[in-house]
Amino acid sequence: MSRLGVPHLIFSIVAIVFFAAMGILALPFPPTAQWFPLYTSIFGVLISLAAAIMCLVAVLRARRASTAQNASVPVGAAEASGHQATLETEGIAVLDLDEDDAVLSDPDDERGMTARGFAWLGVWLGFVLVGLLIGYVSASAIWIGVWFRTVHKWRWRIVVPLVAVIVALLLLAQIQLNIKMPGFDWIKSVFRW
Amino acid sequence: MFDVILQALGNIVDPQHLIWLVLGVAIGWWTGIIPGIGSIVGIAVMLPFLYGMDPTSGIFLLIGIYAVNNTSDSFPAVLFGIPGGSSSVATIMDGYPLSKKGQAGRALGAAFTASMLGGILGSIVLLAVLPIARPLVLSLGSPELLMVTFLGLILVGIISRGAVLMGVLGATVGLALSAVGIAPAVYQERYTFDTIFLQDGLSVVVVALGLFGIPELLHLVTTKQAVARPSDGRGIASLTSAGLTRGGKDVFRNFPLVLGSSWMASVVAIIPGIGGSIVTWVAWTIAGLSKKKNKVPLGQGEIRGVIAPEAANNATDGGHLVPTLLFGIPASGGMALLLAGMTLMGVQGGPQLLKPEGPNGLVLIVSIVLALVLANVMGTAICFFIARWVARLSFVPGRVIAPFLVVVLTLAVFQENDQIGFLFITLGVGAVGWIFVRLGIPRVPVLVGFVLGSSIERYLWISMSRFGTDWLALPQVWVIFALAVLLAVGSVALNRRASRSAASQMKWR
Repeated sequence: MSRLGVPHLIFSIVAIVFFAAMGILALPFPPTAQWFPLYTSIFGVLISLAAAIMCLVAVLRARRASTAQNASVPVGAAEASGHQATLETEGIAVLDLDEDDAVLSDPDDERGMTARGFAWLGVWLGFVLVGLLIGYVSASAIWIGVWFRTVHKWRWRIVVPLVAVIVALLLLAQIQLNIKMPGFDWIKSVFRW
Repeated sequence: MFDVILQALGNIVDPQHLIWLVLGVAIGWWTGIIPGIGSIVGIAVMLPFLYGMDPTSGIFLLIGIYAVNNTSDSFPAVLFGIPGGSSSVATIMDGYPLSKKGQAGRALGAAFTASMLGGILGSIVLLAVLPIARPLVLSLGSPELLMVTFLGLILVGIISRGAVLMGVLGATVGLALSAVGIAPAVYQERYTFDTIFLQDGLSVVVVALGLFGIPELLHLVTTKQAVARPSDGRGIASLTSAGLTRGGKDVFRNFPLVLGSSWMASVVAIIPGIGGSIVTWVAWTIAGLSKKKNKVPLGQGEIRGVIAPEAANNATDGGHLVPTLLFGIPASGGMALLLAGMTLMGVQGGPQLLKPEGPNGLVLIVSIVLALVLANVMGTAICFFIARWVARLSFVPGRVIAPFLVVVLTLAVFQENDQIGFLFITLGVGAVGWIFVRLGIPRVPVLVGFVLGSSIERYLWISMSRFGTDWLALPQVWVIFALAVLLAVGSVALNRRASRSAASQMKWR
């Protein structure tokens, strides 16, 4: 279980707002359409309120504990010695899994992972938008080609046949299996297919 | 009943249906062997293609994916110490040390055989429960079904990994998402924001791929850790047929352990929310109790530490199918998608499926049981015969798979409704899913809440129309409601006690 912290508190507060808005928007509906969203929103507000209180208590306790620890043991880290202590003072947690497999978990890297995830989500959004502009098949071909050429530094003689196979498979799926492709209609209208 | 079994056998041997089961086994096998892609992503990608399919063929496809995933995810667990799915984590504890000792073949042989036997025993439990549960399910009215569904939802929320309240909150978010679209009882647009494409509501594909597909993919591309270490090549080199056979023999030598683990897992898995990840740890712990039979301590490469979790892992499928098919309450994320897939093909889970006058009824349930058995046998056979060659697939790093997955997932979402708006909604749900992953909030309750939303609303609407508010005074309703509250309060208290005890243990260290 992950420890409750400020991000969880923010999440719970957002959930309270979300469910309150849901309930308010449900009020003008006729009763039969109103029951389910209204009761869900009431339940949601109650649960997220309870979660927010729990998170707040957890955050306050953690703050109090860290303040007390800082005040009582100011020289603990300075007295520690050896490689492990050096790593710990640098904020890197050491977890020995095996004699030859030591895993270093860097808190900065953990934080960076969240940001990297959202950056990749942005790249995906870009892929969808490009797909809308130039058609899904061509966007996929460019995406796969650029990825393997730049990220993996694969040679052209591997990338070009790979892209050709992907395009052939997608076109085959579109024509033979009638699988719908985003942006394809736009391309069709340009070429008057 | 004999007639029903004969018809079900007819379904299984019908090549038209069998081919879909084989395809499902192939997909499930592939999604299991590649770390990071689970059965949920595999089933969600296939859902859009189920429209208009024959229900038996479609369900066979989904069962094939679901059943075999738990078998093939042993490859990365044993060879690299990386779980192919959450339920194979316990296998690593003894499987990976065995691989390091040069006994990867033995560990995998034991894992495959135990998985197969566990899957078969789990199916038998499902079949055995059927005659007992059927009259009970058929006797339930809408108010009771409403409360049972509510109970299932609460259970999934509280039992899933992570903070209990966060789990229940996740389930409520799922319910909220299911309210989007035109109300079922009266023509009223809800939360459509004057758009046409939202009138039909959000599809399960959008929610499942957003919640699971996108975060898993982001995890593949954002982690710097390499999938395999150079030393792991030794594991594959030791994958000999003699080793695999030795592992198989080990399983039969420890048959009581297989029987006990499978029986425990399939019965416990009937409770919605108890997934393979919990049950496999229980089975692993049970295997450790018999110190006389263990040649080395558990965690240091004891074969019984591989057999118990693997048998339990596959046996959960039979248990999970009990609430899913009989009550219409999905016991896990994968089962939520199975139920959604059945609905897409016009088959409703729950009492409708058990009625003798139903369109598919008992024949379909027995066919599912037989398909589960056959899928387990086929999956194990594939793993045994081509293990040495295909184990190298596990070496494929996430960054090679990721670009193809982006293309496939995008296509799957668009295939569902032919609406570009859903692509953007999927990415939005994906962002929420990624936040859930980073905060450690369970995602399965959201999916289960979303799938159960329509059933809860239907039961609520029928109860209100038939009884007004009088249904709230029914004693059976109160009993089920009290059980839900008791379970919720009890698990919060247990969770707090466990946290305190863990904190005090840390203090003493």
